[in-house]
Amino acid sequence: MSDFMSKINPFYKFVFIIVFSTVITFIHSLWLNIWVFGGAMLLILTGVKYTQYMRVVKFMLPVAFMSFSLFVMGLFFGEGGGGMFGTVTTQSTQTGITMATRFLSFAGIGLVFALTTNPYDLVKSLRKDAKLPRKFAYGMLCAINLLPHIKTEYQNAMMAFRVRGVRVGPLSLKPLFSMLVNAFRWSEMLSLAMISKGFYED
Amino acid sequence: MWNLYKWKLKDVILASIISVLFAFICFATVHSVSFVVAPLVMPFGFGDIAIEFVFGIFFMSATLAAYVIQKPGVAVIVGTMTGVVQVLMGSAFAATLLPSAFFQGLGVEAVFFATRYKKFNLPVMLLAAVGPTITSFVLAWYRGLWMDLDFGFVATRFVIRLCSALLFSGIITKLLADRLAKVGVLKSYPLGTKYSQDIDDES
Repeated sequence: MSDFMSKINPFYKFVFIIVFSTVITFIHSLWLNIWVFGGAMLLILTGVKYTQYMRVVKFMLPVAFMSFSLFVMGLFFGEGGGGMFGTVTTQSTQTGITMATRFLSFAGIGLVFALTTNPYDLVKSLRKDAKLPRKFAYGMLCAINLLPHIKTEYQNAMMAFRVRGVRVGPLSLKPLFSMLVNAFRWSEMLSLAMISKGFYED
Repeated sequence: MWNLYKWKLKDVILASIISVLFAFICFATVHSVSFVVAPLVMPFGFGDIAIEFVFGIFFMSATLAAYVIQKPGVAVIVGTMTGVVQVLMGSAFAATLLPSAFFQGLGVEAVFFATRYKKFNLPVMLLAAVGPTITSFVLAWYRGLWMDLDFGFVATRFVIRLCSALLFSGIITKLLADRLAKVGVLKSYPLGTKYSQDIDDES
């Protein structure tokens, strides 16, 4: 429908998410979890564009996995449960359901924020409403705009290793190292470039 | 001392780039674990424990940035920024991630604050891995209702998380940063000064 959630000030939304998720961290109630998750889903259905619905599905897949695995964990290892494939009691089932819905409720809140916030708007709003120093606002924008370059850089590094015949496993530190070297170079070059173009540090 | 305006532009950009880089890594880690590993061990009730083996990766950004820049507040800011960037990239675990990212940064910062940002040797780096382990665990304890779980199970989780943090955040981070300093890209940072040669030196 209308995307009224995107029109709310990103900084206030950000603060609200942090405060709200911290508060419900300390309230343990099954019904609160269900209400929060339901509310988040309602907001997504009414306040997010149609085109984003595919992203919602992509988000919810890992969440559903984790939530189900939390349920199984609560079922087996909750108070009264008998370990792996042991006896399952009513109490441990209840623990499992509470844990699973709790995770769902947290995921719902985060989903609302992630779907309706543009990084550029958030940084702009942090600068305007939170009085973040200019340096930080522009530094963050720099890094966010570097994100596609980091991807290409990673591919370049992997290609370079392959050309030289170096075997790189998925957990190897070598590409990370070469990307870190680049990160340091970029930070120096970017700061020089920004200052030479007339950026002043307030 | 805590004045944000005293940071140099270069430090700010470096901190942002490190947080973006590690946000990318954390994002990939979380999603590969929850898609590939967790479903395999889910039937045994260990689905949620799979992430503990790589939990140290989440502390790496704050530790590395604090180790290189060596200024007050670096760890908290970089830790929090890593979380924010992950949320903006579209992590599904956003609302759990923001408070935990802040608390992890706080845990690293507390250790470096206790040493007054003077000492950066291996024991301090190992302690800096223990700090965020404790803070993130306490937060997750309250959030995940782990008081309802079997005590032995939760204790096992803590031990696994601690080992992972010591390995990734304590040892690997220090190795990486020391190698970076040896390569010579850190010459303008406190960490790299001992490798930069003065022309007046004899050797």
